[in-house]
Amino acid sequence: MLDFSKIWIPRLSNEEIRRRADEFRQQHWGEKIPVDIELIAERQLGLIVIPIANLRYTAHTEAFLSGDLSELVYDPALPDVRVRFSVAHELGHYLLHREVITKLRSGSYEEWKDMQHEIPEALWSRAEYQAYEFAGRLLVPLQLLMEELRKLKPLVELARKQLPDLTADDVKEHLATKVARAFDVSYDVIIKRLDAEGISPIQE
Amino acid sequence: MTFGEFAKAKRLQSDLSLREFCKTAELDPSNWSKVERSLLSAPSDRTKLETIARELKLKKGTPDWSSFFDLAYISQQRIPDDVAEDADAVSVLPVFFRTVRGEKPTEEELSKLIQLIKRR
Repeated sequence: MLDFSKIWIPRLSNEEIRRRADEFRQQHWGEKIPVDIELIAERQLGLIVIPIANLRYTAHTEAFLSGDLSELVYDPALPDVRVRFSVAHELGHYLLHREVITKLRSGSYEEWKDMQHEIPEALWSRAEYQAYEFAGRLLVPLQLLMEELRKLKPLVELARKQLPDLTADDVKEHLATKVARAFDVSYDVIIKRLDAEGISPIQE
Repeated sequence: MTFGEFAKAKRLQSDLSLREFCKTAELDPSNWSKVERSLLSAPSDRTKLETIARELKLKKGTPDWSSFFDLAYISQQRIPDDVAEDADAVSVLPVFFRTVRGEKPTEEELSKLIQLIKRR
């Protein structure tokens, strides 16, 4: 049985996670969109990217990083934007949690199953949250998000003139669909980035 | 160098991710990934191979073009490795992974995942 009191994931502020995502992107890709996250995983990090058909249907799993940090697996039947986000999410684990992943490697299937059952919910949730935040900022750089919103400002002004009762949420939802295309992410990812970064599309 | 290693190197030199390449070359990404890892042989159809070579930006008459077809021929002669050994599968079992529900996996999901990983 593993002693989880000695295995922990350090708390990271959102700012720290975003700083690491920005640093990684600048180092391996630069400031252009959309970020080709799958190419970065293969070429820059040397990960073997493996599509497994029916991963979602059979094991209810969308993607994972192998315990030896050599393979990144995803379900190729997922929508494009979902594959891209899943790959970015797994890169978050690769960059933020490699130490704990190395400590939790198993020697047999039974040991691995036991480990999966024993992982404390708090450790698991923290790892998932950090990887999620990392992925969002990696694919949607803040400055470029602001730029995309600025490009759409005339459209927002016109719409507000024509429909004075438009709420901030109406505008946000409308813009998120357009902005999502530029970053090749889902509408939901843009909505979450706007909320997480505290951006109001009306002010931008 | 195997056919798979050669093809992968050329794909990455052309700035193509696995999925993007498979889309344009009309290949199944799961199977092509196995070809690149030498778990499956190269396709035997000459027309298909030429399409793949062109998508890899190889030019007819160049040494790379010849190597591509030579390695494909060698790949077709050998018996592909059997599905990954158990030892390989244990070493790649993931620590963290997202289920569709966003929760920790159940016993059944863990067992199914092991089977999929063995056949990857």
